Amino acid sequence: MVRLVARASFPKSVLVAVGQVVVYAEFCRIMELPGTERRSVRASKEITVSRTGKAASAENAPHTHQIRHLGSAASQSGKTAARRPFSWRMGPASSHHLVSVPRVPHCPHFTWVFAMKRYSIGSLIREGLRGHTGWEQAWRQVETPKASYDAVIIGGGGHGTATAYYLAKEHGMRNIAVVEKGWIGGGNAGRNTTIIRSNYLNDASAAIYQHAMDLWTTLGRELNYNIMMSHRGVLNLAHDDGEARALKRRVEANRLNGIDAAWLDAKEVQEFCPIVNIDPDIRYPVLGGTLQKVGGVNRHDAVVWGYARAASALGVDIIQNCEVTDIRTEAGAVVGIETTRGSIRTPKVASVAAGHSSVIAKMVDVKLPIESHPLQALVSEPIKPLNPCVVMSNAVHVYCSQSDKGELVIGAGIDPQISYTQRGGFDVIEHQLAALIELFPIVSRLRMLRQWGGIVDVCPDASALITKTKVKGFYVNGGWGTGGWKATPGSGHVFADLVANDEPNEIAAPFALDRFYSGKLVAEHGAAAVAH
Amino acid sequence: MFIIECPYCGKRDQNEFSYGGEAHIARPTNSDIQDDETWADYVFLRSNTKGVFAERWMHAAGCRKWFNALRNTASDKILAIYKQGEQPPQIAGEDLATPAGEPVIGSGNDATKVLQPGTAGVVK
Repeated sequence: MVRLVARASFPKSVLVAVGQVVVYAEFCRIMELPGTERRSVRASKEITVSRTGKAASAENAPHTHQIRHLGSAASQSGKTAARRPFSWRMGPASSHHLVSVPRVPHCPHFTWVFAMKRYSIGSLIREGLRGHTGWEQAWRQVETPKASYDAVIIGGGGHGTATAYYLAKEHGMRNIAVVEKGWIGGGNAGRNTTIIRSNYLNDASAAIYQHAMDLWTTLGRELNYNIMMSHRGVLNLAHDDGEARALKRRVEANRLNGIDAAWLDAKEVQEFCPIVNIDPDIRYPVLGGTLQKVGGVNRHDAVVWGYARAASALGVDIIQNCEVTDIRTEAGAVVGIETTRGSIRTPKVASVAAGHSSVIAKMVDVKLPIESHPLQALVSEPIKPLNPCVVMSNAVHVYCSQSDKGELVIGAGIDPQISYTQRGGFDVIEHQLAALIELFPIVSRLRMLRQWGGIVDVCPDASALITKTKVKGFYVNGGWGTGGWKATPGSGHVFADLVANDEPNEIAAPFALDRFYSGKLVAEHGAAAVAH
Repeated sequence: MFIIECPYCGKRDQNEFSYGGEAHIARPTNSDIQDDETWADYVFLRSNTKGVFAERWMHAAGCRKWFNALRNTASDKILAIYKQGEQPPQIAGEDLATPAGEPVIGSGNDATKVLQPGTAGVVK
């Protein structure tokens, strides 16, 4: 057919455009197919009341995401009832009330404040035919901040841009800004290994990570930006009996929370990921593992750019190369910030600064339970597809997936010391490569292409902070430690809710700073394959 | 990875040492009458300083003694080593290139360096 077209002496650009459409269609297929599967893995089907207590109508019911917890919040109407503290507890599904949070529709046709051309097959064909001269900037360039905003978000990573987007879209706060000291997506958003999963042990964690998972599945369509979401499955391997028991327990806990999880024995592990070495005679034999099929990877900067573009279209100012130097307060409340691009008046400052959370919080004399450590990752030279999924192992300590370019993307543990240098020790990556070739002998002669570090903000209980502080109008979203990427949409969604309403919703409430005073920690160290 | 000078054994590779986190955190006395704020501050809250930071190390594969170090966490430069029980020595601060304390070398974020007031476009 191509030959026929060529013989008909069509302009070359037509062929190029057709090729691009095929590629684009393939991306769409990859992106959307898992979305339909996701419906079937969700255990809970009940139609529930929304977080604000309103009965879910048939129209919005498909867009509600259900979190089970014990308590009467769901049956009582009104915001305050739904927002009061409650206890998470495991138990049979029938004993749970269901609380839902607003779920973002698949293809929202909200009004963009600034007209931006939507990306589509049509636009691709049009641009293909005219040599790609008509693409406009993905988001508005804002060089100078306005004198005042209704809220300022510090940090233009995934969580920061997501917070801005949901603030603008769901809470109508469009006179807001994201200030980023470097370029957006250049911190931990651009340095992580993009693993997406939600198989956490504790109910509070399960709720927020599954909330994020539900948003991930349709995020590409919602943002009109291909985030290259690939639900290829995440394996967590067990190498001794104790670990196997812990992982099986986690599978059961996940299922009670309606989260996709399964236990595979060693043979099944190898069937799912043929390159795993299941020889029983190695130092750390693979006894089995858990599989979350809905887990996977996506494209980190596409997520940040997609959020930035959508937020910008809704009126949010994205200000890059703008470093916050101080936060001004009066009578215990935030009144503005100082930046390298001038002063900004604002009643609300939302810090989403990851490794620099403590530095920002110190500007208003708030002390956080966070310590910042370097975490390194590295990629190999590109090779043909050989790793079909994400493999994680705590005992030998490495996690690995293969990017669409063919590079193996490899991560592992943090350096022990507190540091802000975005670089770690060579011994740490040496250790993780030793673990890699223990698991996958096939890659033993593979060369590593590049290596980098990010600064992760680790809380003592390995769970995040989504919290108000003693300073009115100063909010912190941080402490995501080594696993924040998977939470990006969920984190931004519930944090936007907190910033807009000054009260956390049910999903965010367990992650408040006061848990370190009450002792009600969300202890995920070791519990949920969180390894530090 | 650091070369750390143990005050008892001399210079060794970081692999030989265990990290003990922030130094000079005193356990509250009269623990039976302390409130939750005091305990949270002692157990969980940390300064997590960017800049000159006092921290503890233990020479695990050597003399197994604890000691303290002053290190700039923005550049990873170890500025002083001193024994447990001693007060941190006074040291001169380092030049930092941006308001939030990015050093000239080691921050990894070159975009910030040109934004120091008066040095626009100049990367040292």
